[in-house]
Amino acid sequence: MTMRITEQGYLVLLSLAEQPRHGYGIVGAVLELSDGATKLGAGTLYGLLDRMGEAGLVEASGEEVVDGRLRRYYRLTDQGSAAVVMETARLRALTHRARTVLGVHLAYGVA
Amino acid sequence: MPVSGAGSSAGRADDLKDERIISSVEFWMRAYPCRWREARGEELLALVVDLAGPGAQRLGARAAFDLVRAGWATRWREHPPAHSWLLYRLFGRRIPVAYRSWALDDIDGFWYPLRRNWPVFLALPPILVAGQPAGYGGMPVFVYVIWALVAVSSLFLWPEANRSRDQAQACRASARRTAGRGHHRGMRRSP
Repeated sequence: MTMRITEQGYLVLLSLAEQPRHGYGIVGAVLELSDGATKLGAGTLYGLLDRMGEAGLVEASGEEVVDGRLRRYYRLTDQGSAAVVMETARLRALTHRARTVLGVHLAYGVA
Repeated sequence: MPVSGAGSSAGRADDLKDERIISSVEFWMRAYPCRWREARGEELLALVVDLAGPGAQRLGARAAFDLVRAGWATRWREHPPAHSWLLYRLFGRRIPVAYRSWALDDIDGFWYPLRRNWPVFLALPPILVAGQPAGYGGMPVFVYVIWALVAVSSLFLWPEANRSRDQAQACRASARRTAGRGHHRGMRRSP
């Protein structure tokens, strides 16, 4: 099953690329990665994890109980790692094209 | 839940706040399908309480909306496609294995006796009207009364009728193909 990777999805994958994280850890990492722009709600995060789990991009990697609260950890699968690398490459190419376009516009602006 | 100074009044106040926020979250989490909550509700609850912050007694409007929206999105995602649903509902055909959770929730539901026997409830009024004495016009009150009695008795007098059999059938249909998988299709467990 394939899944279109949204910006929020990409940030979640990126947060898991570094290490397995539980839900609260993912929310914090996404907030940091997005420089405070993306604060995931719990429902939004679990919707993403559900779809990524069905697409085989992430999987549960263990759980622990902290202060009586269950924390389940998630990690990237090989397929998930490949997906985040591909998406990063796509964004890099897009950034390159954007710079080219903006460079042209800037040139007109200066002229 | 963290308990500071067990037995102290501050500790009891914290416990009370925890109970309030948990009740609030559980209320909004009812937007999720029953089996999804059984499989993953505990961790979602913990996350929502963590995000609500210390001392929170009820869920904010934004967080509640996020839960309800995501819960109904999950229900929508887990709902079988229209043709499978129609075959299941109209002709009792087995639901595809990917939607087993949905089928089991459907069978567990309070209104299942009405959903399962919908042809009976649909056919009853015309049959009763057709059988009424000549000279009556329209839908007499007794049709509504009998209709309501049959519906209520199916919900309250024999609510468990056919449920076990239907659940066993739904599980048997998918057991061979789901061996080794988790209870819920949303997330695979690592070995």
